[in-house]
Amino acid sequence: MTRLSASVGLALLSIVGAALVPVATRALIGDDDYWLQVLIWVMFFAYLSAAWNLIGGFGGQYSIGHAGLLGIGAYTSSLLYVHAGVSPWLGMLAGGCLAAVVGGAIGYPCFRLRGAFFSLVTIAFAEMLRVGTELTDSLFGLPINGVRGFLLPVAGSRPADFQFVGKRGYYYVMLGLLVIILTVGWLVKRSRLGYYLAAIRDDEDAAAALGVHPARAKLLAMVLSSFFTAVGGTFYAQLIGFITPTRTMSLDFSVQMVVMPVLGGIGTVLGPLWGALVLVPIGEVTRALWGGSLQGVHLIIYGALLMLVILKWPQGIDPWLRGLVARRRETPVAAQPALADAPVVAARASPDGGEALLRVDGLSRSFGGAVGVRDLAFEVAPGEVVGIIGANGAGKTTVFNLITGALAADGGDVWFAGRRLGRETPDARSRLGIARTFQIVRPFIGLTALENVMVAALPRAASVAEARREAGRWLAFAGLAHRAGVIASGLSTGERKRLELARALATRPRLLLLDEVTGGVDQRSLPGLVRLMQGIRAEGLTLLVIEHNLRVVTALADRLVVLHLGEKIREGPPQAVVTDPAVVDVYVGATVARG
Amino acid sequence: MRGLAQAVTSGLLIGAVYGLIALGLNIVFGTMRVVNFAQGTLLMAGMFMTYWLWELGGVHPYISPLVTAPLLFGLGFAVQHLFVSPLLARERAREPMSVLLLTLGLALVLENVALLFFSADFKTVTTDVSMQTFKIAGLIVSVPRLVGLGAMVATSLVLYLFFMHTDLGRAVRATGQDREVARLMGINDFRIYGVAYGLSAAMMGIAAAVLVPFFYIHPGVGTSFLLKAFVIVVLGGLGSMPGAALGGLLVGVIEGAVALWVQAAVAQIVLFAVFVAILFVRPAGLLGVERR
Amino acid sequence: MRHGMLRIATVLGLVGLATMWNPAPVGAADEVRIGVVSPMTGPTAKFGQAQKNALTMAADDVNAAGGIKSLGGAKIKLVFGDTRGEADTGVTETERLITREKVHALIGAFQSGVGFPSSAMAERHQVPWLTFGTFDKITERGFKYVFRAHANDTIKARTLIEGLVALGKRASPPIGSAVILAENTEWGKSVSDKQRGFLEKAGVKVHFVENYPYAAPDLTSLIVKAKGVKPDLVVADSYLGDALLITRQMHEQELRPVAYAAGGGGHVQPDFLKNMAKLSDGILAATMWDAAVGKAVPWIAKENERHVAKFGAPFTEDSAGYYQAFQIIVDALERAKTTSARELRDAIAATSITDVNHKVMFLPYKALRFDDTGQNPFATAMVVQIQGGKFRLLYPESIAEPDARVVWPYLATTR
Repeated sequence: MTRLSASVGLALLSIVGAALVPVATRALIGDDDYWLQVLIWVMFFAYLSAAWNLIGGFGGQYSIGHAGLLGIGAYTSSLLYVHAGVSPWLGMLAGGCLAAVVGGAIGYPCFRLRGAFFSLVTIAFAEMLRVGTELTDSLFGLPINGVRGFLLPVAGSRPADFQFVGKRGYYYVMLGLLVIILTVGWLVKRSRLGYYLAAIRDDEDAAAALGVHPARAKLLAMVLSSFFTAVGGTFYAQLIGFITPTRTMSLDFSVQMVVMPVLGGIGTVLGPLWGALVLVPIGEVTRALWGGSLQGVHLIIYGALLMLVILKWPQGIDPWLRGLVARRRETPVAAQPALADAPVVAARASPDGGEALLRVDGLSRSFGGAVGVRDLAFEVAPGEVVGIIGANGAGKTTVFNLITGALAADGGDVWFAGRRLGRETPDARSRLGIARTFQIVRPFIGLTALENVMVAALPRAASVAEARREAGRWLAFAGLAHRAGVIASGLSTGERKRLELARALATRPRLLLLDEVTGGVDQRSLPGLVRLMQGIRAEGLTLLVIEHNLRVVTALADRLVVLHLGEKIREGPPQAVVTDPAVVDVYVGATVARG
Repeated sequence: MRGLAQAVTSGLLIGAVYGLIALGLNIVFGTMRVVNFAQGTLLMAGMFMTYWLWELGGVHPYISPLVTAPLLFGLGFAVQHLFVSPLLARERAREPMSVLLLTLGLALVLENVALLFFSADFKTVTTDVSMQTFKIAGLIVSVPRLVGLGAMVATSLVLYLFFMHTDLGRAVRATGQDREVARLMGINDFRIYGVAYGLSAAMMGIAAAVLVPFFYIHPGVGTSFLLKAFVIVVLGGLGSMPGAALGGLLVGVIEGAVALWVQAAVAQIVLFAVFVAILFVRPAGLLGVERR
Repeated sequence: MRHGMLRIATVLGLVGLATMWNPAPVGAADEVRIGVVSPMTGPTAKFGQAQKNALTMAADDVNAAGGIKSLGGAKIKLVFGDTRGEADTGVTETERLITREKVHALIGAFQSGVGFPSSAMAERHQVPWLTFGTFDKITERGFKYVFRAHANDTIKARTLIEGLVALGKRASPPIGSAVILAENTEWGKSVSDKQRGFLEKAGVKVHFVENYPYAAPDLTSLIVKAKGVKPDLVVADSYLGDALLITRQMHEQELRPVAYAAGGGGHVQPDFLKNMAKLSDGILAATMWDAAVGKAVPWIAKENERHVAKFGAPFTEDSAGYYQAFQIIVDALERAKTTSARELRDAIAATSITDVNHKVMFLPYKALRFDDTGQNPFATAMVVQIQGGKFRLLYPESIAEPDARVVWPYLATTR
């Protein structure tokens, strides 16, 4: 059974359990609205937490201002209902759309603020909205009473207007909403968007280098999150019948929406549910038991639990529960030796074979006073393997960064497939067909090996399933098929290098830049890695390789380019270059040491 | 015009207090990149300590930092060691979100423990200077707030000298810029963090001493100052002591001026709008160092 | 995998079973349960505690005297719910008291913002709710089960302004202009609006009404603005913290109006007196109850003394209101001879008492009745003034302390 079915099973069980309990209770005891109310609160907070989780957990942007969106939903539907007679069911959708627009408009430019700054900005916006609403007595001529609060008419049972007598109606509505949001979360997680978000969360730059649009992915998550949060706001308004900006848009509310998913398991589908299931009853119990004698106990518990979870179980409750239910298994794939089933590497050599695939011309870049690269020029023909060598600090990685667009050049040009690369971002260049591996490997640490490669394959795949198949093949090509289900953090350095390669290959590049693939790899793994690279080469892919290990690079490359202090000092066939006295001079000591 | 001059004067004076708190936050946020949501509750703890020293020991608030500052330093150091450093050891990111959440949890706990033990009653301390004022050029100046201004100026000078001209101070700045490299240079970054956090907490003792004579003491008192302090730190420039001081004064003046012309509540909106604008237009703040 | 699923199913099933163990509280048949909805924790917990004290004393008295006689000596049991000062918590607590604890009537909820939706919950369940809360609209919703015996915001504001005008008539200088400083909460906003209306009706020019942010650390600009228009009257509607700040800063900035009045809230709390000393002298405030009424109505003074003996502090305005609400319920129970909700409600609605020595007259009025909105049309408020650290009852004349004179203008004693 895969992890997928396990979560489906869990989800179904939880929902069924939640639905059964009060039914059974009522059957035994009689109409007991109290428990229904408690369950409604549990589900309500689970719902809000799940909606937050879309941008917070999946998107990795911790908004601490979501109560503002809640307020937008509550006020929109309430105003429409009281002043225009629009049923809150419709008003709910209107509020959701408005919140989606607001959330997206605010979120999009703010995403480039990393980490805590983003959180602070969301607090700022929510507070501005709250104070603004408190000060506003009427909006477009419609009274909203500002801080005094807006009341909804209590008119008995009117299901068409989202009003029920007794709790049962609200209970089922909330249950329905909760099922919807959990399903949405589940769908997102296993969709393209979910994989992109997971990758972005782990390493935004590496994701961009694979052709993923980080801002667009996050925007989508934010829009979804805002919409559903606002819908929750309408529910709240209809349940309580009275909304005030001070409470509805408060920082406290926003914090609660963050604490619960963190406790339950950030970025998981059911985490928010667990968080609410634990925290809401604690609040109820402390109040029922000690109401009056001990002040604020439930908040002490909330705070202490939060600290405990962050320190000891940062993944939250959900992974622990999963541990009970399903053991982590590596996806069984027939363990094939390294190069069998190798898919055809996209060797899109141009028909005439004469035109250079990559041309670098007069390329220069300095860092303050230090020269990175000066007036560099060379070409790489399609299907060629060119090696770049030179001592440390010669400028090799800088060249790569200039080609991929991670750095901007001070002068000179980069031509790729006859097209001059100007201001294209790394993800745009990736889409053009330039892929690279990093010197210090940057796998998506929280994803499995298979999922890592899937992220690379997704932009070009028609479906997630197809991307998974592609990824599987590339993993097999790289000799990692037997480790497909292992989380990247559990891979050895050599395996991670292979993973980098598989990932880069999955983007179907025309030009692959390999940055010190053998660096840090132990002697035993070296031959296998080299064989892999030869395999890639054999398929006809164009390679530009930075290598320190002269044996490896001379075996692999058609030509070598030697850099020293940012300038090209020699270029030519490997054997000629490594015996050239000028080159030996630069490597004095290095050649002897490496042999 | 007289009204504006008065509003600006008073704004500067209360802004000085904001600046003091921002200085404390700046040490942690600005140099260590740790988002300390518990800063407000540390201030609250300092205020309660000051209060009890006065109530039980008759110690004048202005002398209390001699006791409260070391106590708070110890508290800050302990918090850093027990809670923050395990997180920093674990996280790669420069400003790990987990620290924000951790300090948020800590703030919740501290505030409500205070609520439990000291109840929600407002406590006040009335000293000989609490209501003294004098006039300069027709402008009314409140004495305890003037003391606050003095304390703020003195403290920011001392901190500036500390960070720029002592080894320990430089070590803190270095660690804030790049802890990997600092560690390679032989700086024990975890001990440095402890010092920074402790220093930041100790400063709350000074801020408390300044506030207690004219502001009420209450478990929730820290939260209202906290958000303003964040605005100030960003406005003034992360890591810049003069920036935090200047930012505090500026925020006080903005508040006072806006309250005079429009409504005091609108000032809150204006401040947050400024905060957002700074983050986009000039993230380094007024006096901060532009990074990258 | 099946094993795992089975485990989860078992756990959930057990949890489900556990929550089904939901024993209805064994409500003694010969017991009357009265629910009390108050902020027992949170920033206003002190008020909740005072309310608890007052009610405990009242309930103990009733029980010691033999309980509800018409119900065969049934004892009163108070069941407390903690609102934490929050609207949604209040609603949940109200519901819990009704459905779990099966209370027969409720008193609540101190903060109007909490009482407003919570009383709606009581209405939904058709359980009588005696309000403590001044927000007018609480009794303007056409509800049948919600009652208020005391003054609402309108009455309090009117009393304050009429009192100021009446007291000012006999003193000089008169009041021609005013500013109102109210905090930006539901109470402050509501009260300040009403005050403005009554001032304007009395011919006083209101320069501005400002709703300043609650718990601001500095209000100098506000005071400077007020000073700029040279008002004769400054009205402040603040809770304790702001009341202290405004008073102090008025002194600092040398804003010395002819009269300084408070809509209630912080200015009438003992802590305000304790901390303000000289500066509080001459502040006029509207309140619904003050211990000084005991001078005109002796039994009230006696009750207050007992309260002081028991709890070390006198009744407060709100705890007095809760006390009154309790007595109304007790009185209605005796007449209804049943705890059934419908009939109890009818009995409450039929309340008609004019005897000033009746226990319900703890807040003394000409009469205690309920109109068809549930409000007592005879409810009044009173105006007190702080003199020498004590409250003196000055208005209306019928209950004013005979030996009290108004101090006018504000800070006359220190000029």
